[in-house]
Amino acid sequence: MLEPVSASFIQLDPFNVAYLFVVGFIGGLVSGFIGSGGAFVLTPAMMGLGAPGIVAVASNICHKFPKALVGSIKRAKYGQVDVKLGIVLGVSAEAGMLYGAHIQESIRRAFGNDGSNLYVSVVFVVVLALVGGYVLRDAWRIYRSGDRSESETLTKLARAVQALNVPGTMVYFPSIKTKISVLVTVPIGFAAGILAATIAVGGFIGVPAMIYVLGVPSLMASATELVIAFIMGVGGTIKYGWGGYVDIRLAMIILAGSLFGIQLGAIGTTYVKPYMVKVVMGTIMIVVLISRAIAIPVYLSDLDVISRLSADTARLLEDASFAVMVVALLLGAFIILRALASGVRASRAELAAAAATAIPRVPARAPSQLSPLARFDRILVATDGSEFSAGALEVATGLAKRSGGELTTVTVALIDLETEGIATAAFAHSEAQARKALEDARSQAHRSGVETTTELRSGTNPYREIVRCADDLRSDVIVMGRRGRRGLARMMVGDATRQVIGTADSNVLVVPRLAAIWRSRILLATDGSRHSESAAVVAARLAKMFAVPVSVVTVFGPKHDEARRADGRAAAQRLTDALVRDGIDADCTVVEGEPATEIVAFATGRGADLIVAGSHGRTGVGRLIVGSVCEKIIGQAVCPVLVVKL
Amino acid sequence: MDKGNDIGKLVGYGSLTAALYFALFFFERELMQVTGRGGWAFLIPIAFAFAVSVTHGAFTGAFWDFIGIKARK
Repeated sequence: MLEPVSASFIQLDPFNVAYLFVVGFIGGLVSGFIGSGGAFVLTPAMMGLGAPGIVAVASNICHKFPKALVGSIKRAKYGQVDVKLGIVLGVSAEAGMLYGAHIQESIRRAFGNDGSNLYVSVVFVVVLALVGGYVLRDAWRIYRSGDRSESETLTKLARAVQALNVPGTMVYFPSIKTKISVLVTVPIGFAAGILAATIAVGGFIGVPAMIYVLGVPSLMASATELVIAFIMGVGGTIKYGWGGYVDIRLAMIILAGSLFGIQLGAIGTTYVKPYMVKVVMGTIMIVVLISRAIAIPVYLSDLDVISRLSADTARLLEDASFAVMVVALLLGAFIILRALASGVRASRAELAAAAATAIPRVPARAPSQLSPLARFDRILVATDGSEFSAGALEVATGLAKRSGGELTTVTVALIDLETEGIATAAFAHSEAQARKALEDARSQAHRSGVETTTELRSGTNPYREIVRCADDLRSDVIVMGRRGRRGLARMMVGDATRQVIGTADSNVLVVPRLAAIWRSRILLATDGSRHSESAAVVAARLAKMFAVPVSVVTVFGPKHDEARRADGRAAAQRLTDALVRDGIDADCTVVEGEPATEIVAFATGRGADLIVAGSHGRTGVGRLIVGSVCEKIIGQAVCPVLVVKL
Repeated sequence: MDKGNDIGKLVGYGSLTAALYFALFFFERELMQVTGRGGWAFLIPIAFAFAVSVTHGAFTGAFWDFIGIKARK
């Protein structure tokens, strides 16, 4: 005999599942469009199906934290997350959350599900009234003043908070660029935590508090909020899950819908004016508020606080509350989808018009040789403006100078679909950074005596845009940095670098941060394959161009038998002989051990300042996989590594 | 080249996600009993939510991209 399922969990039929999915989608759509807190439609929607308030809140938190983790990791890559502030606020929010959850459970124990529902509804009404009213007023102000650029000035409060100095409590936060007393941050986190435990929208306090009270730039505030949301979400899920309140089905159905919605909503923001975001946010908040307010008398009557309502009246109020909620959701979805549809149409028409008048791009001059293999006529250097690109830029200008090739600098302004609701601002920020990176690169190249053209691309995937750009320009080589790292992580190559090598048709030159153009020796790593032969052709060309010797190195491990060793030795010697015949000073060495480690050690020992290796480029899915040896060499080498594509 | 990868990603992540949801509803009763008891069962919703957010997040991203709805550049 199966034991009964907890009474807190509602029955799900296909209608309920579809309803939750659609609500999740619309909640996600709204969340993606207006910023934090699609939860204010999700929690009541679950309650509308009969789930007790505490189960609705618990399931909502459970669906939210993995999304916050994915989002915060993504935005940390763009440098938008103040991890320290996130952790400080997150931990105090966690305390607030535990306290808030404790209040919730006490209420439920004392007054049952109706008491819990009443409490959640009342907090909802108060918070939505305050925040919704403020947002609508702000939208109206922006609309009337016609000021669409949201300039970021410190509020008086933030200035006062930053001036406050309580010895022993001051902590430096990178996003604010000054020290702030934890006596200010702790209450903010605590309040956000209580709110999150109650209605699952702590971001309603966290983000505005960070912006207006602490003086954090809005872009960083919303990104840092994701760290807080994650910390609180995990804590909250454990707390509620421990009590058995998380309805995993509700959480997962809502997650399914909301992941679709959140990305669509974020895309939507790139097509509308900023005040529109606030109009939608404020409007939805107020309508949801009305919906919750209508239901309050029912809970009050169930708790005998007011005189008992007749069954008909109670049902009427509940139906009305539900209907108003549906109206709020549909209204929000309608506004967003309409804006998206008309925006996409207009944008496509613009693109079509632009394409019709665009002049096809033709390479400026005839190639120096027919085979693209060892050609360096068109050099594309990818920069992100960070210190990690500095070496790449220097090596690219050195290469362009010596080969006489045309140098183009590309950077990618990232469009991040998970920057909930602030996609427009995030993109503007990203684009401004990209322009600055290009300008810096142009002047750095100019100082080295090389002129570079610049390309600003935008997209969600940096590697894809770099490869597209190389295809468009028919580049012979892509020069790019490698994320400089320490310790174990140093063994791993940055994701974008790996993907570019995997998918580009041209050769890829990966340059560590501090590396310079080679002047001493080229190391040609060979494994006797056809890829190595291609690499040899490129090494020969570069050796002549820079008048440097070449060391051909092949490495055997314990698993190689004698026959394989003999073959490998002969192949390496053949390559060396060919190089010597070509008039290049070349020698051949066979080493025992782990290939990547030995090659890097050999390069260091012999003073080689360029490693050339063939990639094991494949087709299909395997094409994305860079040879593991090649990847390890890139990860460990302190000099540039040229990966030659067959 | 890109298109092939996109479809592969769409189908791959889509199938993984579908499998996770199938498991959720196939073992619905058992899951509800265990998680409803509370205690260490909280690990189940956490692990499940992580798995779904990874596979389904990648799937939806590929989905919107595939049907041509992209952010304005």
